[in-house]
Amino acid sequence: MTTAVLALTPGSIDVMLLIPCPWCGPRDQCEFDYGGANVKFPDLRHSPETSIDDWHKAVHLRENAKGEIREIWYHRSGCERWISTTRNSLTHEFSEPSAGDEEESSRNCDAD
Amino acid sequence: MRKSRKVKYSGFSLLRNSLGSNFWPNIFPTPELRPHYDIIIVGGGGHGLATAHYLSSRFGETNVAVLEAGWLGGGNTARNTAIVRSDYLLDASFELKNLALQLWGTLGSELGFNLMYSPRGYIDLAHSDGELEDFILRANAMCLRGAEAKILDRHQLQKRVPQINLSESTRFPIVGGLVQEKGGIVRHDAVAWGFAKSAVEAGVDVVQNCPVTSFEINAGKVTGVRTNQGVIGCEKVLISVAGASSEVARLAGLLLPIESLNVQAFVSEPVKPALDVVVNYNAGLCYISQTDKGEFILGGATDGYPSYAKRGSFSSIEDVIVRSIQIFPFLSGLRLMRHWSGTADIPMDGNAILGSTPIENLYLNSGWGYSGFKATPAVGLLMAELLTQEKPPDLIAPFSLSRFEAGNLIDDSGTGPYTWLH
Ligand SMILES: Cc1cc2nc3c(=O)[nH]c(=O)nc-3n(C[C@H](O)[C@H](O)[C@H](O)COP(=O)(O)OP(=O)(O)OC[C@H]3O[C@@H](n4cnc5c(N)ncnc54)[C@H](O)[C@@H]3O)c2cc1C
Ligand SMILES: [Zn+2]
Repeated sequence: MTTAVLALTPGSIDVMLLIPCPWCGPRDQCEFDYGGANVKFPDLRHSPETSIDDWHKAVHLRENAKGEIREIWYHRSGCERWISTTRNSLTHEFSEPSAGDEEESSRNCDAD
Repeated sequence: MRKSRKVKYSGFSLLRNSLGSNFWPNIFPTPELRPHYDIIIVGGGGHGLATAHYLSSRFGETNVAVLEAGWLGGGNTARNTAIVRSDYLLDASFELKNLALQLWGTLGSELGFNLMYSPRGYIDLAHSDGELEDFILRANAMCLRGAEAKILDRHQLQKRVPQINLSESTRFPIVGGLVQEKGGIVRHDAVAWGFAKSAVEAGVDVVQNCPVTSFEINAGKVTGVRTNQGVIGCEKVLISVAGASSEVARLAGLLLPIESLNVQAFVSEPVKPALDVVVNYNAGLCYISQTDKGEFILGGATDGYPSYAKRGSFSSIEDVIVRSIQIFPFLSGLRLMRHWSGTADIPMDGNAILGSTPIENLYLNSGWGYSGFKATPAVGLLMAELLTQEKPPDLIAPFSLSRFEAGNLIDDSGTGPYTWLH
């Protein structure tokens, strides 16, 4: 069964995404809900600087890069927090969460 | 200029070639690129090749090149579960798919290529009274617009699909279904090859292993494309690259309201005929049909997050298998033979993006996600019209790229701007 073992080596073929939660450590994707691209939405309060175009960009337009993408996940069956991650959309590899990510995660959580 | 030899397939030619040595000529010879074309189509999948066919056959436009990064129909054309139907609620969605369904009926003879269109019926299963009410609304809307649709209660469903498990003790019992008898299956590879053969015979250049790597844009107007074979000039360009839409549009400086997600499909080992209709399970998603060879083809929803990996999570496989066994318990005795993925380009409202772009003479056919195969001939016809006529065809007007900014979304499932839920 060498092939099966090889196939399961991290970074080759993943059985499921292994998402690095900054609070709980690496956990299977089935514990999470996907929250989409990590987008900075315009201020909900009517600020004169916010235009339709800002909303259009935030709600609709996506980089959709073949490479590193920044996104958020909800750790439903874990710490029940929103976390932000950087993942490669071609290889499915996650970058190590940085302190900045954590800060951002808790900000997203507040915003929710 | 190179002219390819016309090949006519018939029972006689099959017999002749199976007896003696093989006389089949190469129907897709590698053409020498012209320095300039009227129209360049980026992407040699079913959609791009259909566009080339209709450009030459209906609009007399043959100064056309189809540039394909890999091989013909090796993208989602080769990866889909080949289901065709038009059971859509919203006008715009319905009209496009219903035009396609009408075209599928005669396309095989038009192309002289057997597409094996099998209108065996497509059944959508409802799992609650509320869902069935919703199906009745959809069936009525279809009938009002001239299509055929029928609601089946449990008794009728059992008669139409004898193997279906209607037990009320399953997690999501089945209460009825919507059947469209004209829906069914078309042989997907044959679609790409048939369209390509027709276009090549008419004088279109179909070039494989020729990725477009950038666009020549001058003063807001596209004037050519750069490829691994150098720069080729043109009047107009159509981007028709399915899962690569965002990547290719980015080469022209455009950001699209699209995310690319992985979708998986599987086939079982072949067995004797047991299912003569396509069945779709709606609590979650699982669509099943049996091929002429006897294999069961299974497909499901997306993997749930953007991906270009063309390989997916085992959890999605499990989801689909669990559902398929709820509908047809006998499937648990079969082994899966093959499994593959494709990259689906899903827009924020889940519907296709067709028409012009902010760059002059650059056009877009994208956003078909994992439901664009059924629309192939209609897309080809309408894109050909768009590229040659003054006025864009009415049927594609609702699908403009500008609809997002204007807020005119076409959200058939009412899901909102979450691509992974469409
Ligand atoms: C698993 C799965 C199941 C599906 N099931 C169904 C179904 O049952 N029914 C249905 O209606 N639809 C289904 N679909 C969707 C359907 O397959 C697609 O919507 C449809 O095939 C898109 O058509 P296409 O011909 O444009 O795509 P493709 O065949 O993907 O063609 C696009 C081509 O563009 C080429 N390309 C990309 N970048 C470049 C470049 N830079 N230069 C040149 N060429 C380039 C690619 O190599 C590719 O060949 C399914 C999709 C998947 C993945
Ligand atoms: Zn956690």
